[in-house]
Amino acid sequence: MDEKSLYCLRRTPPEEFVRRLQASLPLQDAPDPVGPTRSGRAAVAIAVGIMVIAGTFMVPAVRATAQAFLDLFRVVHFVGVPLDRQATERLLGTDLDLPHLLGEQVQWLQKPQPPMPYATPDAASAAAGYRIQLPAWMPVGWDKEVPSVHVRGPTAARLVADTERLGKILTSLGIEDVTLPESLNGRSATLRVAPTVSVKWVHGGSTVELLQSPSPEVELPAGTDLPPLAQIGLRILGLSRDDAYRFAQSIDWRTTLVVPIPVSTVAYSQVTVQGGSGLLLEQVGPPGPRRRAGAMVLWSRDNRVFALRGTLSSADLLEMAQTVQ
Amino acid sequence: MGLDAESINPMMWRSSATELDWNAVFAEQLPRVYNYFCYRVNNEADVQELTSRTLEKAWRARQSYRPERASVATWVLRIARNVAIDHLRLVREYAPLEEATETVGEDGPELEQESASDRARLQSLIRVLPAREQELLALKYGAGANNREIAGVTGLSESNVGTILHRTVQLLRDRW
Repeated sequence: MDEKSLYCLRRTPPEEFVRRLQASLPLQDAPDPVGPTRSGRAAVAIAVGIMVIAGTFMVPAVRATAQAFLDLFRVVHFVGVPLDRQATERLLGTDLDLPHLLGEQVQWLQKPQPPMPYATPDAASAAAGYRIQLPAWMPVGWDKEVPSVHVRGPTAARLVADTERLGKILTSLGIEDVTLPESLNGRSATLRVAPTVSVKWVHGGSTVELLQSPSPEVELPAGTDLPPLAQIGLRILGLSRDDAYRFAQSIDWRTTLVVPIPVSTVAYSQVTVQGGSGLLLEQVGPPGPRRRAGAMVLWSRDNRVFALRGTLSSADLLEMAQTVQ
Repeated sequence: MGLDAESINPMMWRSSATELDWNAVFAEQLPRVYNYFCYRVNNEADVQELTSRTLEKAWRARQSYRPERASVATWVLRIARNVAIDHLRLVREYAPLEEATETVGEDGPELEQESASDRARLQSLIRVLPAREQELLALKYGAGANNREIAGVTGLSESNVGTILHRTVQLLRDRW
């Protein structure tokens, strides 16, 4: 290996990229008043989406709240809950370390492992323990051949409710009108996430990734009155008392996965995927220099959950989703 | 840390000692940041995304830049480093590692094939190194930073940077 080889990853930035970036910077002259950056919020939005299927309690701030209190939960439907900018900043702000506060109540039964690469979909299927489904259609110019498959092993965690700590969280968020049932204290929810498979394609400057996993399961002692507990979670997410009540009463909490969506950066809509309901998330905001416009489709079929995300148009992503088999 | 030659480079300054010439900063630092990320992530989309994020942060923080604290290059590379740390943490926690290799070249077919092979080889060797060594390589060979700048970015001593880089390059050569 000569010295030149050490520099071989260097390249000239594409002119078009440089031009767009340079042109976009003055548009950003008004700094964000508070909170995470636009990119940070976008990342949060993506992370929230991925949490649905990657199924982790690592950042339980928004995930655990709405769904960790179910006696047996399987994903059949996805429903978006708008999380406004204030709520996003409040949950992610430095004053309230929600991940830490909730994280202390999480006991890992099976810790998440790094994803492992596999040479072929068949090898990944064997590792995951189920047959991987793939799209039969790709946008023009994209190669259907799978260049990259990873499998993340199963994960399990138990969350033990601590009403005192939960009360502190509510107080920190300025929620004073919620009474926590004493019977909740010490009760536990167990989350089990089966192996998750990721298939990724790259074309030009764009990427698209299909994540799939058998539905995560959450168990709780039977007989838990779910809507009032879900209502508490929804309040933490920023819904008003009345909205949280109405929402909590209208949802079947044993089959519906609530996806908190920071609506200042992500638009969402219900879509139909292969005859069932799905959720389409699209990044919003002024056009910037990034190639990543970012969209994601979430759906469930035959006890398996899917997330298809990428820098394609939402129409192309939906088209792909319709052909996953 | 004292001033270095770059921080007092008049090209970096416009009319006063507190106003950055952004055009010069952009022209000089963008290729360095872009190539820093070429060594940190594998695909072009991520390289552009993270480069954009870094330059946006620098742009918005340009009025708080203090030349007595760090050179412009060190300041921008520190931002890039933090952007990389955030990104890699997110990737580690939420998404599978990206293995796709996308390269851009202007050589002829044979040379291009050869250099593409070298790139893939180097990438695979770098990916298995500890995070600190990966970062130092990215700063040295991607961003083209000297050991003093790398020390300023990472907080390591200059001699430590030199020692680690020497050892790491030797390791790469052994494995090549």
